Amino acid sequence: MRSLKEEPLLEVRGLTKHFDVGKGWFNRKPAQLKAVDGISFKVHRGETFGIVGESGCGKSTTGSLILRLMQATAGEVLFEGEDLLKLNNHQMRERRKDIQMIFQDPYASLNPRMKVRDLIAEPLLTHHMLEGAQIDARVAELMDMVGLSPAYAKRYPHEFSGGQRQRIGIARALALKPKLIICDEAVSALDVSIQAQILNLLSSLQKELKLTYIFIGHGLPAVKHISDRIAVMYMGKIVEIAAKEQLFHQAMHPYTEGLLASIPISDPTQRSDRQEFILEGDLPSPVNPPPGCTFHTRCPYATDLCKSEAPTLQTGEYGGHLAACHYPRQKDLKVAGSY
Amino acid sequence: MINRQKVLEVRHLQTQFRTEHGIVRSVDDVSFRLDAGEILGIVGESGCGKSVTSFSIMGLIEAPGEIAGGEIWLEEQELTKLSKRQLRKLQGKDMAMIFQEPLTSLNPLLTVGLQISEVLTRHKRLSKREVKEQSIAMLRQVGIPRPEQVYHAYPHELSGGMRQRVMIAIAISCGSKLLIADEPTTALDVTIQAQILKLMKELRDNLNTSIMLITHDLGVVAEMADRVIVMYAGQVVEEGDVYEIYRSPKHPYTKGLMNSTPKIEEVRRKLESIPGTVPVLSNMPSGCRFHPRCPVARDKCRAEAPQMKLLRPGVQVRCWLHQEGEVELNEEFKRRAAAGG
Repeated sequence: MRSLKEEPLLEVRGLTKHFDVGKGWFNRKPAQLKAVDGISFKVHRGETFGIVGESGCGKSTTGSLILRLMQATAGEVLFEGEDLLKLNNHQMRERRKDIQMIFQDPYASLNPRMKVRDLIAEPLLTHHMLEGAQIDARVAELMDMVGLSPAYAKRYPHEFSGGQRQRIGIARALALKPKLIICDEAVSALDVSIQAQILNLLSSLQKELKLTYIFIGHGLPAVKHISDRIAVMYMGKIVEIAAKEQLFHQAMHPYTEGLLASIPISDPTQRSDRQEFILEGDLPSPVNPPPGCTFHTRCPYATDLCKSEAPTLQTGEYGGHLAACHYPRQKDLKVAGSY
Repeated sequence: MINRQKVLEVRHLQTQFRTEHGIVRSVDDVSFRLDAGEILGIVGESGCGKSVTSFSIMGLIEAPGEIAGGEIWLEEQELTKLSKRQLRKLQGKDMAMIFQEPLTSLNPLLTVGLQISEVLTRHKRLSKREVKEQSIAMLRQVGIPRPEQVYHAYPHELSGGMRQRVMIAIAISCGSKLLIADEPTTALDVTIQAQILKLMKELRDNLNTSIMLITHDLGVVAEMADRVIVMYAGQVVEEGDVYEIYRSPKHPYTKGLMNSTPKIEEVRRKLESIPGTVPVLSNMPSGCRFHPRCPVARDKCRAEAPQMKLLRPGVQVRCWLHQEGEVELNEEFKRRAAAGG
């Protein structure tokens, strides 16, 4: 366990993003969609912090808010102690060297008209990091680092497979020697055999370059594989944060329990001893979330208290296991699941 | 469940597409059978031909694509010889299909009720009132709450999971014995996926529906299938009982797929991955199509393509390793590693 005094690389406090949806009628206020609703967490140097949840839970918005690709409604994002949300555009641009992002769809995130060399050199040029021949040397070094032959530098993205394109995306993200990389569904669009290659690459780069990752994903096995600690999000809120082993074996929040139970098993012999804990129903409308605990409509243990009062996630010390639930369970789970 | 009545048999199916770069054969000599009440998992990565196989069965291959050879038997009928019109009579009635993205396969301009009624009216002689009653009964059967209201709803008003339930209701509304499910849960969240998989199991148990479940997700197969077919680059490379395949995969590709999947119950530093990528159909490697990515490939694999070899009833593999009898893959891998590759 790390010392508690160590300053986290990133600390998010009460981060909130509300979108106005629809027009306000006359003087009525427009409805609000609480995409991210007051979340807080810390990410320490060298660790991988996973964020999981289903579509619409706010996990990707969280990534965008940290990098200020979207303007937060409220909250603080402290990177090495400095609040990114208070920086002006020029200062933020400087800071972006330290925080980079890898996106889900390598087909959509690379400009099809740029050669690989130019794609990887682009961040270097934008930030005036290197000049002339130094750039080519750095591009070759980066391509080598992510397992692409530098001989391919003159090719266009369409000449590469999905996995190779994701490697190009990773090389771009590494170009400025960042401290933190936000991986937003970075392996979700890839075939399993390729997914494994990219996960392995991310792990080895992390060791080599002492990187810190925020790994956002919906595929629990992949997130578990790579993360040290994991936050589970539901309807814009973090409902549980724990070290991964704790999360997977002693989940406290019923939503986490349901999420784990719904992962398909990895071996057909586990069929019989699998827990039947299938969450009923759908996600409620985010514009009109249920009162009290937003999960109560699907929770098998919900009581009257859950319907009226929202539970809070206690902020505790680093490494603590937290759940936003009136009746945290912490029973030993028999996890049969896998991908 | 020991009902050995054959519902579907595919024999040496070949489906090809004419392209600028010449003829591309997406499905090359694929054979398998599916019995009543059985769930057959078809696994493979993108481009392996699993979807083209299902489209061929459903009669949905359009020019420039064509079925170039082989036979498809649905019970007593051979489908490749039928006209479009004859196929129409079977589609939706004797065989039905559900797709990955229910929003693109449902008509956004028609209510859910109309879309179910359409199938019932086409294939059954029913009065208007009976059609409506049956439609609502189908919606109820697939676990849709308030079916009377959903009957009047448009697809966009429903969630992804509900839409997939509607698709399933349409698919089973005429009592189809064969359901082809092409990545039915890939676009859904895990908690919703679990609901849909449970529903499909219930269909099988209650209606004895045969399900061809196409997926890239080995977990879904482990959860659902009785038998499994693994496809690679347009060919079946392994077929077997689900327990057998997971316990001891015979083909190096199957083993590679399993090892590259992160597992919840394990902590591993490094995943074993399959090097390289799936070959392009227009530029197939010589010999065994998997040899450029195979850790135990030999000269023979580079030169000559292996055929499907029956190891035991129901267990087949397309790999030179097993030509002179079954080989224990793990042992073989170790032996090769010790011998220096």
